[in-house]
Amino acid sequence: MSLRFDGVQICAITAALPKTQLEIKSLAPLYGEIEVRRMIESTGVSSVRVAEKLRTSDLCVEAARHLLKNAGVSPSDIEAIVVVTQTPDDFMPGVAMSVHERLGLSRDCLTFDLNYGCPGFVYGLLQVAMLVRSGLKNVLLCAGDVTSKLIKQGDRHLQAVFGDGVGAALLGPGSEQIDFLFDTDGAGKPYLHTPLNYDLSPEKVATVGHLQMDGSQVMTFALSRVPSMVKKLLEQCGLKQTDIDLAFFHQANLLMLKYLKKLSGFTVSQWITDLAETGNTGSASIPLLISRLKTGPETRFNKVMLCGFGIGLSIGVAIASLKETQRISPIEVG
Amino acid sequence: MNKNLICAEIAKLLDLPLSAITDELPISEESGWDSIVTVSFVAFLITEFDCRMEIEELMATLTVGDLWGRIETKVGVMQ
Repeated sequence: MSLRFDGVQICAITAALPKTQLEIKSLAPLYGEIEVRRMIESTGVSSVRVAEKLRTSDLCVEAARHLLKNAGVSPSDIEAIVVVTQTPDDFMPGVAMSVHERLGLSRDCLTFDLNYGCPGFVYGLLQVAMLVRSGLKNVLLCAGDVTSKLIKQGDRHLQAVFGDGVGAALLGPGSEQIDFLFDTDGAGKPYLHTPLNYDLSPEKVATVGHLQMDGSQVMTFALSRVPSMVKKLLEQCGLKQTDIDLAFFHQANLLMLKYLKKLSGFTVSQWITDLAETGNTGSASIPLLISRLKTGPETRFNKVMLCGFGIGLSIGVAIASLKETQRISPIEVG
Repeated sequence: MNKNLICAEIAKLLDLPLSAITDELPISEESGWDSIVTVSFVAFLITEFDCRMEIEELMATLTVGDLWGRIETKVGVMQ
């Protein structure tokens, strides 16, 4: 599925991270020094942020406040808020409701969640772009998770790579366009999922299971499908690979990113990797990557590629301009 | 497909000298071939040779010599 939205501007982007850090090497007493060293080498993750008592809504609220304050936009001007998450505070209602209340958004503000993981920022952008094209002027997007709460104690591969965080973006009307391309393989659902047990017999209550991931299946899917999606979207936009100034890919892990860069044909100067201190933050990873990027005046943001992949299994790729986008350094929470 | 290139990658992943990568080398924990090596090797095959090998298939492979046979059935005889 490919879609184009003209007249949509990504006005500002930032992120919120929990203050608490988990050094991966501190897991050595549990898993052994050699195993931990090898995990750090292959994932490229030295530490992750852990939400502890913070909930997704806490991070969304702080990210949104930080964003609006720096962008000079009043909460009363927000006409819609979309929260993308797979770790809601409650099964219902959605996180967006809590954010709506705590930010003091207006009764007119359209408020809802999207259930999406790693490709979620691109899916959120699609939803928000549709709202902007429908006539809204200030639309807020929050995307992220507190995945650490879903990881089973002792699951070293997940514990060593997933971190918590939320990204936030403000979109409105403008002169830019965003092109999207999506790919879904619903048969890949078991490879990355968190089960929900609906057993509501008198003795039991509904329970949420732990995050389960078959990393090799997700990786094979991404390496097999993402490069062709990148090429297809470039062709659809009439662009060459060299027309892309920067590629912001979901920061899954270093191994996968190394191979995706090679297969997708991006050069070192186009490719951004930044997961050593934050890990894989799911749908927050793309806005986190953008907001943490330190650049010189020569860095161009005329055409950037955003690419998320994972849960579903699915992929979302977008080409947008960030040249007028205010990139705001992340805020720490906790 | 270049057999030397694959041997070099296996040696790198297992942290062994190239000379240690023989047909008899077991693909098992005893030679250091764990889940990280498995995932890394599958990614290497896709990226370098457009060769897709299922994890289960790789895990069912007993030795490096056995591995050559499986790869050759997918992509042809190696040089």
